[in-house]
Amino acid sequence: MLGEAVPRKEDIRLITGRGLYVEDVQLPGMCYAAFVRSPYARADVLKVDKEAALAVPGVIGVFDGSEWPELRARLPELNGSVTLTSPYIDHINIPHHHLFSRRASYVGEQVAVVVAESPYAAADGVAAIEAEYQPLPAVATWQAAMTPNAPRVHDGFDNVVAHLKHRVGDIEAAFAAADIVIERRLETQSLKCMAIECRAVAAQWDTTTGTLNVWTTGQFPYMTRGTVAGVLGLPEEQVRVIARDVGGGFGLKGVLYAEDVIISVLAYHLRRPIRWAETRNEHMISSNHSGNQAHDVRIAAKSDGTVLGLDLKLYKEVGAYDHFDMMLQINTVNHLTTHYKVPALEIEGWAISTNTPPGSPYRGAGRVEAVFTMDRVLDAIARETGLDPLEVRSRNIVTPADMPYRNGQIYRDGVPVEYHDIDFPLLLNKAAACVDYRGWRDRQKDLRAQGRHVGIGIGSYVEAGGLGPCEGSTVKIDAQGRISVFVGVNSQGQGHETTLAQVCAHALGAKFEDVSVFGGDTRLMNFGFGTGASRVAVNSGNAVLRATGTVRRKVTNLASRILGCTEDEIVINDSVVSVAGARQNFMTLGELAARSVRDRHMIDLGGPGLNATEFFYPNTVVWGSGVNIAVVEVDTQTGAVTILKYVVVHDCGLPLNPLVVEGQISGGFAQGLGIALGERLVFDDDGQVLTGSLMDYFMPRASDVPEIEIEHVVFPTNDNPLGIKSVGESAPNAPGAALSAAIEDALEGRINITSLPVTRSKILTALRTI
Amino acid sequence: MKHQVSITVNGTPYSRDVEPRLLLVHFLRETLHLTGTHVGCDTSQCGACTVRMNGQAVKSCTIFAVQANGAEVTTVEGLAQSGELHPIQEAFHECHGLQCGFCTPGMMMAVTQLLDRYPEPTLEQIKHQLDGNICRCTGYHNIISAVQAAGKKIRARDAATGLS
Amino acid sequence: MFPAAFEYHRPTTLDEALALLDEFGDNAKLMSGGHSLIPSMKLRLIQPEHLIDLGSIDALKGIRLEGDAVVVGAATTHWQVESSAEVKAALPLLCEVAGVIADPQVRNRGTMGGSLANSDPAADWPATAVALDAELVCRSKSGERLIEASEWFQDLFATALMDGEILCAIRFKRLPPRTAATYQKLPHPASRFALVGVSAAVTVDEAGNCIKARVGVTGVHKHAVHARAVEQALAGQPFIPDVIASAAAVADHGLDIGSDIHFLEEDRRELCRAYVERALKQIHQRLLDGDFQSK
Repeated sequence: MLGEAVPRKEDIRLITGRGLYVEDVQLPGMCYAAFVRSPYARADVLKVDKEAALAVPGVIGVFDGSEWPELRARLPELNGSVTLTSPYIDHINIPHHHLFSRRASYVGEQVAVVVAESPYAAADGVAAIEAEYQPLPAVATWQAAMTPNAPRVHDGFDNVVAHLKHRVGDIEAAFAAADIVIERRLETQSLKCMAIECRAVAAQWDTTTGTLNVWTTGQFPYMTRGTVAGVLGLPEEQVRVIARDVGGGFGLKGVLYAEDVIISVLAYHLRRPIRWAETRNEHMISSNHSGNQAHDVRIAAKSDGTVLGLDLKLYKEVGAYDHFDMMLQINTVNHLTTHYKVPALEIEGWAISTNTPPGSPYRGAGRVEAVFTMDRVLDAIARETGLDPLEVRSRNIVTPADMPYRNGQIYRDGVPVEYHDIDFPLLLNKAAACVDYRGWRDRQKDLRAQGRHVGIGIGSYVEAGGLGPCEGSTVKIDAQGRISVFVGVNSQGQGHETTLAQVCAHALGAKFEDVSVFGGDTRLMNFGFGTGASRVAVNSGNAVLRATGTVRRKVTNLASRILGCTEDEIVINDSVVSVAGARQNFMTLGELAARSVRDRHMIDLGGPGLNATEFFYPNTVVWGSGVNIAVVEVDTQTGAVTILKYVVVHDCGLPLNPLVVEGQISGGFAQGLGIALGERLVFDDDGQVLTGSLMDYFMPRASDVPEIEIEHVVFPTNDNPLGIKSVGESAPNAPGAALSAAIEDALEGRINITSLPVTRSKILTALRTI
Repeated sequence: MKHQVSITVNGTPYSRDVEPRLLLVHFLRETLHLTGTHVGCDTSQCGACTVRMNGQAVKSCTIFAVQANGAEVTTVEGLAQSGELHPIQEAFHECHGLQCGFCTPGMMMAVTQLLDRYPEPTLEQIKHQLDGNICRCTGYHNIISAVQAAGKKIRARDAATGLS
Repeated sequence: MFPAAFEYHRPTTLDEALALLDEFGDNAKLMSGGHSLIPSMKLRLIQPEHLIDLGSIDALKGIRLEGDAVVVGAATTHWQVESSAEVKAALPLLCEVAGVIADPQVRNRGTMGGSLANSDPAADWPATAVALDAELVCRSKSGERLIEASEWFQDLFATALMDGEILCAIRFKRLPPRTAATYQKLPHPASRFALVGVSAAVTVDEAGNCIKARVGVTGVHKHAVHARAVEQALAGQPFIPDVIASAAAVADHGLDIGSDIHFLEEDRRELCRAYVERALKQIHQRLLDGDFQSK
């Protein structure tokens, strides 16, 4: 079962149109919300005149935070759950983020909410609101925010809301010993996650159970529960948060939004079910973005291409409210050296507020920026020394002989980073062989003679995944032999209902068809953390393994007493429990479960029923890794980039389900392609979004995505019993670096690519200079 | 002023009074409670709302219900017949052509037209005919495989039943 | 996402439609395929009080051959053009254009009349209408008017259509023998409208000299327009690679091209020249292959 490419269980309801996404929640008496949003990036909200809106047919009410104290609550300071403090941070001072504020700090910030009998009437209500604002000077870029005397994003707070420093080795000595010193300013764009499903929340105060039901598109249901319960003064068990089917998350839904809490509060007070669904335009303008990032990099290297040291100044836009302390920057720092040895590091980083929506992780969460930096650095060294970029990498790569390897980084959980159970040279060499690196190098000259500009580029990434603190699982067998696996996380497409069922079926000896996984419902487990940071397979997977193991021990114990044998003689296969060598002596799991309800033997086995709840606490993160190599052709007349060949070699440890793994890579690659060649969120100097719809925000279509070749390297880790690493945030990381390098190489290094995305306009502009 | 519309959806006739501005996608989702068809954008680009109307794949978010008066509409809920999955549904399942599933109903309805018009489509034809459907999760590779697999299934089925 | 309320009218004859237009004047909008109109209404960029749906008027539908002209009803969908065997035989350029507009779902609903009446500066039909000097047939209560394509497109989203008038049909004269044509489009990466779209048809004599070059461009000016400099550079000249290259080099002359957040003016000028060259090279190849517009 483990490692088998089984088609997914969750597919059937999804392909027959019976998924339950938040906007599908339809309840009797339901009303609908629409938000009034600030048209200014920074403004005092002087007045919200509700009169005209209240007169619109179908409008039930207009709320601006003055109605109930709960609407003046704050969102949790840091994003709760998976964000941990880091020893790098030496300063942090973040303003509070209130549900409604009299001072708007970004275009799109909620100012009031209209509730109506239909979504159409709610939109009419919003259109009828007469709001008065006093616009104030705003800063829309981190550069503007850091200029002396820049307007403050928040009164009383510096625009630099957090700062970090980290040092490894002796950076001064590194630069003193350098033959080569290279300086670069590298920039990466801000992105929207662009899940096809936008955000949505529905809430209902269920008088029949005294429960507030909240349906969310969020990735962290327990954080939603905790905050809503806290704001309303309810015990957490009276708030049930459900995230059954979510149409893609990618990090942007991994934060608690004001709307989640506001809708819950309204449902509680209005005593009517209420639903809000974001429009795409609203998504482009008011939902979180990943934030622009810039690196000032100085590299010290020897003339043989070996890296001596790297000095990095890291500027990260965190938007109007920072919910992630310096998580994204810390990820960049901790992923920075990827596969390579950098003996000395000097890093300083700033988290800078701007009058733009709050920053959120977007799949990769700082890793893309790290990969882009390290690979551009190595390519720059190649350029300087005349060495082939592959050779430069080989000279700097961390080898198995160096393992376990500590690069001086400390992960966000406080544990020093250590690479082990990885073979970087294998990945690099395999990728080179697979793409036929030498062959393309040989062909390049002939192609150039024919007037064709073909180039090769390498991107190498690491991916820390499986971050704690932990996840849990409950496994239960019922009298019909159905096995239920409860987890404290929800899926946004990752296939949990299948992969976790595979783990359970495998560990128990049950039929795969008999196992059903349930997640995304805070009723199921007391504690859960969430889906993000590529953590579910490791945490929930191993929790399912442990819980199943405990259930299995109950099974063997009880069965041995009933069937009259020793525990070692018990065989469980295809949901049947039998005695080795006497297979006619058997019971089904269901029959055993039925017996276990009243059987007194259970007194030593934790009580009635064949069930167990276990948690898995990882020691620290696991490291997936991979190499991408791209071969591209650049049309110098039109700036078009054609990908001739693209290879992904990756190691995610043991793949639970190769179909799911390849799907993650294929989808992640498309996102990486978007990051590399065109996706970007653009604001003007007044903080207005210029890429406010799909008319201006590029997203790859089927005709944009080339075929790629995926090679799996399976190097199971000893860090967890399943031997799995992570894969969720692996594929978007390297295309930016690989494609930039390939495009530069195609133009024989006559242009310098230092920013993402590499748009056609950037290529045409660069071509005009050569 | 409301208008009465009569629209047959998945073989069942419905008659309802609607505001002219009610979009067909909302008529399907909210009035008829067929929530399989999804809304993913507001500029008629993502295709998550695709249904078949009078035999053609259309974006139901860009049609008013009043325009669909008298029409026959098929949604994802109407693909499976007598409890049997449509070959396209089977193919998406077997080829892992969906992850979050949100774009999938619209994608499959677009594919029904694709395979009607191009029963043995080339790779280029498939990509071009999927221009109106955006997926964020899969990177399209398995969707393309699903289209190819579905095409084979349909051709085999039609050959077996003597249709072509 | 949710349009403002409006009254809906669905006339079954042209006269009914004209009467409604007369009655409601500025408060009414005509709707054909709705795939430019409805998105604008959903974003509340326009909020007409009355919508006049032209979808039930038979007089606006259908494609027919009238002498040497292909006459396309204004309410003909792009798919109907794309899939028409008649058009493929009489003027295949139209099928080529239709097949690259937007996406398949939009092509099932969007209409030629709607596209031309909207005059989006990046739409596909306008370049072809201009290149082929199509005639736009309009009707009002006072009668019928024929407007030539290059006079039709006047400004951003502005045409020669007058109040109280409905675009009924578009007449394309068939192309003479020894004419090859093509539509080359570079889709904008986000919107998939034409970043640059070149619709071109070149007629040569037996010696391979260009008798007439018709080149219409979209995406690079406030509306679709003849690339006059190209047409003049080709006229009377041997239609050979060197001449093609020189002609393409002046493709952007006389065009009012601007910059935006995606592309600089110079990018667009280069792309305009590149795609005109592409179109002319394609035509050159088709002439060699005997792939003519008139069989």
